[in-house]
Amino acid sequence: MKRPGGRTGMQHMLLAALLSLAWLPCHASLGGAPSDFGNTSVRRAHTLAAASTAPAGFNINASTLPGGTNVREYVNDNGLVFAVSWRGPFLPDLHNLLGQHFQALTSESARRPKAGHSRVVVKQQDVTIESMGHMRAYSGRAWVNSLLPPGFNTDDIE
Amino acid sequence: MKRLHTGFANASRRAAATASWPALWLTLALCLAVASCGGGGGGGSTPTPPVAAFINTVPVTVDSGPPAAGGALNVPYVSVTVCRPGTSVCQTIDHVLVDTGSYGLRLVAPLDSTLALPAVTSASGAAVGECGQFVDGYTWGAVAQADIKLGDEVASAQSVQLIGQAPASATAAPSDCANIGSNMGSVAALGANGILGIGLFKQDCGIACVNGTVGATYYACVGSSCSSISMPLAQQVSNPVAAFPIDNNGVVLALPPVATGGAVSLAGTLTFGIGTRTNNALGSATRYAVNANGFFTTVYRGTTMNASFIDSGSNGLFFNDASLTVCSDSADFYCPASPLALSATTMSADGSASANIAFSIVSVDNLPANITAAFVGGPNGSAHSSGNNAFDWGLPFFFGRSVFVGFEGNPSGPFWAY
Repeated sequence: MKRPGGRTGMQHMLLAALLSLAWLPCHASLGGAPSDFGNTSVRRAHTLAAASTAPAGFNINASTLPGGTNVREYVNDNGLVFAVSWRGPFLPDLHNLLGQHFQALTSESARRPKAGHSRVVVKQQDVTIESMGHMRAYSGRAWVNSLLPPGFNTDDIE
Repeated sequence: MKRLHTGFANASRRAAATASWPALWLTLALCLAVASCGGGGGGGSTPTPPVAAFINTVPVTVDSGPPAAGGALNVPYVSVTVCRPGTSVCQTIDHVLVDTGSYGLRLVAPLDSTLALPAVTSASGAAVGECGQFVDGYTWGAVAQADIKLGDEVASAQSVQLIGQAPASATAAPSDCANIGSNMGSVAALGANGILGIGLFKQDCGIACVNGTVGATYYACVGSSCSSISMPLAQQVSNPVAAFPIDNNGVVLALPPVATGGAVSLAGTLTFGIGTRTNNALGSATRYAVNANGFFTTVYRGTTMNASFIDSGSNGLFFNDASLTVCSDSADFYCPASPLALSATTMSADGSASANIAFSIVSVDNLPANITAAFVGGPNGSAHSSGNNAFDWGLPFFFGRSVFVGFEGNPSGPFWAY
C-alpha cells in the first residue's frame, strides 16, 4: 500500500481510520511507505545515507525501540520499503513492520507447531521473511524481490 | 497429564531414587559435613539409617511428548511441581520443556482449581498479564505467584506465567502482543505442557522492563483492558534455579549418546548448581564465555558465526550450508541421502577457548515414526555480510554430553561449559 508523505498527524489518523473502515492494513510497511510504528514512543534516530560502496538508490531508516531493539527500513527511490530488519532483546511490532506480509509469517508458524523452533523462514515467490533467535536476543529480516534496487545484495541487510 | 497432589511424598520419592554410588558418597559427605546423621560413634551397634541425600537433580526425558502435542522430536521434558506459596497445596505438571533459550517458568492453564495460585499485581493493584515472546509467536496469560519445586530444590514465591489464563478478564492478548506473531498458547502449539526457562540470564525481560515500559511484555489489566507497565526485577518471570537458596549459579543438562539411527526415547538428567556438589563439578569441561547478548562464536566451513547459541528448546542443529540438501517436504530440515559426518569449531565470545565439535546430520524424512531423538538439522536463514550469523546448537548438541549453563552473576559472567 502506498502512502504519500508529508501528512500531518491528524491526517495520518484520519487516513488510518478510513483505511481501517475499508478493511485495509493501517500500517503497511514492507512493500509500502515507511512505518510510523503506531505512536510517538519510538526514537527515530536518523536516516542513514546509503554507504558509498553500496548501489545507489536507497536509504535506511534506523530506529531504536524503547526496549532497545533496532529496526531498519530500507526505502527505495520510489519511497517504498523494499526490506526491513530487526535485532535486539525484544521482538518489534512485526504486524506494523511487515504490513501485508505479517500473515505469511504467522501462517508459517502455525503450519508447523510444536516446540523447538528457534527460527521461522518464509520463502514466497516475491517475499522472503526470516525470523530467528531466542528470548532476549532476536533478529530477523524480510525483503520484496521485485522492489530491490538494481544490484542490491540481500545478504547486506543488517 | 497433570497430577495434583497435596504435600510431598518425600519419603517415597527418595526411596524410589536409585542408590547410586555418587548418591551414597554425597550422603556420606553431607553426614560428615553436617554431623547430623545421629547415633555416630558407638562402634558395634546397628548403624543408624543415613539421612536421605538432598536431591539436586530431576530426570529429563526425551519422548513423544504430552498427548495433545501430537508427537515430538528432540524435545527434552521434566516434571515441575508448583505450590501455593508457603503451603503444601501443590500440583506436578509433566512434560514441561527444558529450555536453555528462555528464562522463567510458563505453564499452560488451567492448573487444578484447588491450587489457586495468587495473582501478581501491579503497583496500582491491577492483575499483571504477560506477553511471552518467542520467535514463533507469543504466549499470553496471567502472572501468578508459586513455589517452584524441582527435586529437593525450592524457589519460593516466584512469578510464573499461566499461559491462557486471563489476567482480570483479559482473555485476548493486547494488540501489540498479538502483533509479534502467532498465538503459541496451547499444548499443541508448544508441544509441551509448559516451558522451564533455565538459560544464561535470570529474568525474561531484565533491566529494560524496570527502566520503563516495553511493548509486548508486562501489562496491568483491569477488566478486559490491559496497559503496558514496567516491572521490578523481583516480580518478573525468572529463571527459578537462580532463585534457589543453594545450587543457584547454573545447571547441567546431560543426555545419553544417540546412535545415527536415532532413539525412541532418552533418559537424561538436569542437575542444579555448578561446582557446589560432587555431582556438578566442572571437571575437565571447558568454559566458553558469551557476549552481552548471550552469544558465542562458531566457525563452520570457514564462516565465522558470532551470533551462535546453545538452545535445548531448538529441536535440531540449525546452520547454513548450501551444499546440503533441504528436505522436499519440510524446508525446515536437511535431508541428506545418507548420514553426514560434519564438524564445527565453537569458540568463546572473547576467543579465549575453542573446541572442535563433531556431529551428524541424518534425513528427517528417513526417520521411523517412533524415533523421538535424532541428529537432525536444517538451514538458518540466509547469510549476513555483517557476520551476525548464527549456528543454533539445538538439542542434538546435548547428545552424549554434559552441558553446563553458567548463569549471569557468576564471577566471570554467564558461560557455557562442556
